[in-house]
Amino acid sequence: MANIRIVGVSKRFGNVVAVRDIHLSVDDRSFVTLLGPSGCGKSTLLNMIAGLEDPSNGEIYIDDLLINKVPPSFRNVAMVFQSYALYPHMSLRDNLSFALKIRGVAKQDIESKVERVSWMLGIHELLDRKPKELSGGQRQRVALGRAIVRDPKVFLLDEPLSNLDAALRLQMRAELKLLFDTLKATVIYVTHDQAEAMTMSDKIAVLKDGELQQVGTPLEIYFKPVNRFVAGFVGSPTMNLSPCRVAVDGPRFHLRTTDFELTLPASPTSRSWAPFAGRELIMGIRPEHLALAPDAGEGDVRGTCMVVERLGSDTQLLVKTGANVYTLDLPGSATVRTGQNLRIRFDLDALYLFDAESERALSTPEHLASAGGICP
Amino acid sequence: METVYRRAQMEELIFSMVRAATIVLFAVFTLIPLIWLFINSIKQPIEYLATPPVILPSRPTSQNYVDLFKDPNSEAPLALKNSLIVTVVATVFSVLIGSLAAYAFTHLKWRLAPLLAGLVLLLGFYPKITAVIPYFVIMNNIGLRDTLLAIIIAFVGLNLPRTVWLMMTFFNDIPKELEQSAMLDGCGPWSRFVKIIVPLAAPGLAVAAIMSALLCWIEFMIASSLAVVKATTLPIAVSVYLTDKGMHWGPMSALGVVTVVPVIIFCLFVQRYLVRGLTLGALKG
Amino acid sequence: MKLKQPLLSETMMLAIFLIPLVAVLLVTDIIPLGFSTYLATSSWQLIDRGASATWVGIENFRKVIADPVFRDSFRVSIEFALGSTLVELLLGLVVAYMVVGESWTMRAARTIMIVPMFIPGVVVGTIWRMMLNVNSGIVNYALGLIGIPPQTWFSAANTAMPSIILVDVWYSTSFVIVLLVAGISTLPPDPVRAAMVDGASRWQVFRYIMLPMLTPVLSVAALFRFIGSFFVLDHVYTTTYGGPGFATNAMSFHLYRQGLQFFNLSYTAAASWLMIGFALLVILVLSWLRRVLERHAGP
Repeated sequence: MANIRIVGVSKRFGNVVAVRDIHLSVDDRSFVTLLGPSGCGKSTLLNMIAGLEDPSNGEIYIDDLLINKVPPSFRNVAMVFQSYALYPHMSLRDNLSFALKIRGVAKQDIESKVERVSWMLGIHELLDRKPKELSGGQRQRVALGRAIVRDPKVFLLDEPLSNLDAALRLQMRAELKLLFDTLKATVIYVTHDQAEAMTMSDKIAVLKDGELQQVGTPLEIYFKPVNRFVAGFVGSPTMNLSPCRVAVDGPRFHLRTTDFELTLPASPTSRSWAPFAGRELIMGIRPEHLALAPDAGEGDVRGTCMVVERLGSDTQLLVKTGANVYTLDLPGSATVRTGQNLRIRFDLDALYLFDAESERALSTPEHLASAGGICP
Repeated sequence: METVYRRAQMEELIFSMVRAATIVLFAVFTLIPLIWLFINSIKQPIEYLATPPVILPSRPTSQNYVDLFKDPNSEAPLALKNSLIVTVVATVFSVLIGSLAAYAFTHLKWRLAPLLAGLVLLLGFYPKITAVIPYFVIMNNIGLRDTLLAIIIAFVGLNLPRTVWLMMTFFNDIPKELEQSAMLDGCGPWSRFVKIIVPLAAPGLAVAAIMSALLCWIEFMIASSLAVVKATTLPIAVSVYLTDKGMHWGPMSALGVVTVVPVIIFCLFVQRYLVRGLTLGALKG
Repeated sequence: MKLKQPLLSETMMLAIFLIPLVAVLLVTDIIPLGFSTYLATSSWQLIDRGASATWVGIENFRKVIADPVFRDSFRVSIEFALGSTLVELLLGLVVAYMVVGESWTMRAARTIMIVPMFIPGVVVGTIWRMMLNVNSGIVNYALGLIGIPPQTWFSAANTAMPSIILVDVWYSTSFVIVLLVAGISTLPPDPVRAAMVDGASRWQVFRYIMLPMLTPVLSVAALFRFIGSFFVLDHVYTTTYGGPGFATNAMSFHLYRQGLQFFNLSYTAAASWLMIGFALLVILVLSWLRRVLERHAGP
């Protein structure tokens, strides 16, 4: 296994900049996810690590060896493609043994490795079949098997679960995590699915439009997003974001949106709101920090319920407060109807503030993170 | 790992050189006969059969071309005219008839329709020599032997199977919903054909037309079986040079150039369509 | 609201669309083929403007098969078809592999390379006849410059066949190249990239991944070329005219001469049907071969 260092890597296709000045370190035996929407450059970055594309600028090191000019066949990396890329004309057995055969590995060694890996992945009975006879899940395991059999320094996975149906995807998520933990492998995983990234990674690197937004542990990304994009991308249902201002009224500060005004907490443990007064801001609050106010209390916001989504375990509401719409995450048994007038209670200790223009995070509820014992 | 990696670099370098050499050699191999044809067409008469052969004509002349078209005994002007007429007319009709038939085949809900279509396609694959002689006898007996009409009809028949099949593939790619909504609006088959299918399948029609035109321009066997004097085409005129006229390489080359240049220019402009037409079958089959 | 009924139903209109097709194909294919069967099974003599015919069943077929010239022309056609197909497939594959790519150089190279197949066969023959002329052809001249003695090309029976194969290679390799370039370009890219990451060299990728996946296109190319070469006429007509002697008397050419110059109509008809039978056989055999190959493809 190996560590990887990406230093100042950019990639241009003609006039289009796919990847811009990326700096990233992947520690030995860690699972790092490149997360971002379509077109953010994550697959391009992965291809550059594999050697299928050349960086326009910057260097890539595997185990402190500069590999920019090294062709893919010599990098000792294994890649699992989104389409699995199985050799259609070969049996499973031949698919798994191909890489070893062309390197001249002894026949008995190949056989024992193929046996071991196919048992590990539960595809042993299928060894003599051809790819077109297999289901999607089975093909995916073969693609994995092909990579594992090579005992590479790094595993590169390009959205391996996106072609599977939802139930299979959840199952494979857990299996993959367990598998790579067992193998003690260095893994770079590409996905647009934030749930996959959150559940499987040691570290997440969030990309947007070719630029690295933030690198951190899943909980760091979740609780301490560095900008509005990261905050909105991670977490389901997504964080509520609306324009606002902080107004001063004597000793108290108020949060003012187009629809309502709330008094900001002023206890000794709450944050200082002074620096944020008088600017254009964006407020963020996660749906799980909004509740329905049972009785009329001060500091509640009036709204009308537009949509109720019952998932069984949760109930999600879309509530219109005027110009803004807020998503609430309530327990499954909540009793609400569409059209119902209700009151939302904001847990303002869990408020996020972003600068409206730069979209950088100005204030985050740090205590949430440390309450979970994640970061000091 | 370093040495293995260096060997890979060497391999890539060698490959690049081999590739460049192969391409250059083959391109030269392809071009030299054509260049030679042109050179021969501008040579002085005494230079034709010179031994050793003259590579660069000392005084290039256009006399051969002039002779082709000014000499009253030359069939070149007639052959050129006939080839043009036959090519244009046969192409127009084969595309028209072929696309109408393809439309019918793709829309008829008759059980025998695919069978019929298959039969038509099959007719594109048998050796035409079988039909050439009988066709000649028939045309001869109805007095159409040395006419362009007989040639045109034969050429249309020659192109139809391929055109039908080509257009069927293109028509099948047009989503049915487009026609269905037109049907609901009250459009009959003819107006659907003209207003919807034809505009959408225009590239397919272009491919079919281009391939038909090329085939008509270069066809020899059928045309030569029918033509005697009046219906001569360019390929026939060229072939005649060796048997009837002996080794007049100059005018023969000039005629060859006249036949070949339109093809080359045509190819340069429409090669995308050509490639598509040629490969459509091979890849789907 | 009364709907206006069209004059003709949908099916009738579509049937009308088929009429021109049927009419033309009747005249150019169906009737001639029917007439050809009649010719093949009767003894047909042309007398002045009329003809006399007596039914002879398979007698003509027997005569044709017994004719040594016909059998020899069959051998010639087979040799020619095999020779040219093999060379064209091999050469075409190599060149096609080299010439894939979207850069303007590759596209320019491909444009040059597809020209030959669209030149009239008779012109191709004419050009090569000039080039391979023993005394004043530039090929022998060029060979002389590097010390190789002049070859007899078309003028000697033993070199005539290789010579016409050479002409066909120049003529038809371009077709194979077009087909194979398209085939290579439409291969799924991921297995190739996977093989690269797995450590395969360029040759290994080609041999173990690309080639097996190209078998369908290759077999189509092989079929077209074999059948096409078997039925060759045009450039043989202007290069060797069947000779010297009968060395290059390919089947189509032989029948063309018999039918249109000597008016041996029954002979020609019977022989053509034998040809068709053979073509069908080839198609069947090649399809079977392809299925067998596909089952055993792979490293």
